[in-house]
Amino acid sequence: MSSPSPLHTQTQSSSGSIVHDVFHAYRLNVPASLQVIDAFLCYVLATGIIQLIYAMSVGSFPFNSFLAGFLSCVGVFVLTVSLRMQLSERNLKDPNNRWQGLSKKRAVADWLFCNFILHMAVLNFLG
Amino acid sequence: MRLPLSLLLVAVFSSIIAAAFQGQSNVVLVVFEDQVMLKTHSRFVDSLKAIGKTVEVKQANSESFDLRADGEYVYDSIVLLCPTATKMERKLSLDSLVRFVDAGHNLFVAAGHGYSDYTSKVASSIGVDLDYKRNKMTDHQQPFQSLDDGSHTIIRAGGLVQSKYLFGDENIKASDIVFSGPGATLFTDNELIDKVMWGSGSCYSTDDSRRPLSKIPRVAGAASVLAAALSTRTESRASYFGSIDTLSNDAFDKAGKKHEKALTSFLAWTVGHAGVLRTRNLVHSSIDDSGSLANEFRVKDTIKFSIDVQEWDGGKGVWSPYVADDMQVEFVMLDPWVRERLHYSGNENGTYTATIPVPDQIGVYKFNIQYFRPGLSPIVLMKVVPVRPYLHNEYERFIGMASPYYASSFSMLIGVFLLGLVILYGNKGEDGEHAKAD
Repeated sequence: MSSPSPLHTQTQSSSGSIVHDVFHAYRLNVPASLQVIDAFLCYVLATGIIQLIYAMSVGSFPFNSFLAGFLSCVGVFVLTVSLRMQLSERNLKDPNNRWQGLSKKRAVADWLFCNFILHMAVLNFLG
Repeated sequence: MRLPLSLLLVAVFSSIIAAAFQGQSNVVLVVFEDQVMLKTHSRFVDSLKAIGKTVEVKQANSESFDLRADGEYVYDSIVLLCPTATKMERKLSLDSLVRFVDAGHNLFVAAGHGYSDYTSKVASSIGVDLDYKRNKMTDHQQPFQSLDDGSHTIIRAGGLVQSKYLFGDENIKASDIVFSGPGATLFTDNELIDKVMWGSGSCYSTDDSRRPLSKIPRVAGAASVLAAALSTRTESRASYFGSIDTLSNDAFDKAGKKHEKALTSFLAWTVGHAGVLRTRNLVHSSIDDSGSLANEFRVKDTIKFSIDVQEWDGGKGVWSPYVADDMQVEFVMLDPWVRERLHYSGNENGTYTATIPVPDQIGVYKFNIQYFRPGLSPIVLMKVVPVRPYLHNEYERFIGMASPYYASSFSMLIGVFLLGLVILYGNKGEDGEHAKAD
């Protein structure tokens, strides 16, 4: 990427180029494993929103099923964000980070265990 | 030794049961004022014999009126044709009469000009408030000419309940019936009594019909009660008729056949010859295949409700089907949630059926039939049934509308599994490159 010329100041740079810059910086700086996690988080978020729109449009009739489906998205999202925080190198460099003594494998094991409990509840509640 | 004893017991019990089904007694006690009335009112009383009753006649000055023998009532009905008799209270107390009616027996009381306090009390005990004893109903517009002496106190009735049960024929007109005696009104606190015959618009009560009125009459017009009928909650009946004079043979001759038929029918109705209803075989079942329990329904069920309604046919002495199109059954939880017409099925048991959709509301309901018609014994019937929600295994296993939720839950599960594989095994090399780059 060429450095912007003095004529192209902040006012000149379009919003499209900002998004492009941010995305480029993200691809460059964030490890691939975290990028996979971020993609998964986007998928979970989209699924949750779609369910919410569906329930608002057709009604809340099997309400337990709706709660199970929607809360499984919320739960997975929260757990996966927690996992991402523990896997991020930048967080590990922070001296105040309380996960510093823990291994990444342990973080993944915690994440899987929590997901196991979450989905037991979800499948029970799904009806 | 024991076998004959038990046989005897069986015989005794079966005769008791048979007696209970046929009614305790078929004897009617008729109380006259004196020997003369026995002759002048013979046709009215003989009409009871014609419908198969045994008549026992007593005079008001008889020594005793023992209604009970061995703890049971001797009589089926009492007919009081003694409006002016005094000293009755001690022999046949008001209290014993009320208990007699409460126990399921019938009472007919006739009033007349100059009635006694006793008659007034008997009438008020069934809900009839008599006018002053010196007053007579007077009608200058349409007196009954062939018996009139110029005082216009022998009048024609102005209206009556058109009922074949009460007066024997639906086509009997009010003007066929001749009346001479005091007017009356009904007490408002007795909801079971109905006025069945009333005065014309031009009649009023006065003690001297030849003088103009000086004060407002206590009873006047269509509000004046000439005859009233009470159907009690114990399926007994009590009737009032205000004119003893027009029940005589002489009056029957002069007033005509319709007058005689209406009043003898009214007496026959009082002693339970006509218009007696009974209900049998209340059956309710679910049409849907929901219930393992017979007396329990599920919300949104459909109930098939049936009941036999039968009418006593006095002429043949059998119960025959009662045919009507105005009966209904309610399905009540505080308020009626469903009200359905009962349809006669046409069979010889008088079976009525209705299809009741159970509302989508759990709770304790009752079937309720309240059927009050003039001349017919009231039908008041309630049966409590619970309505339960769906059991957990009565829902559909999979609901089509919930399929997006199923899909999302399983996609989360699979997604977590795949992401786990990627994190643990898939990205070691790239991670290594980034580590080097860092």
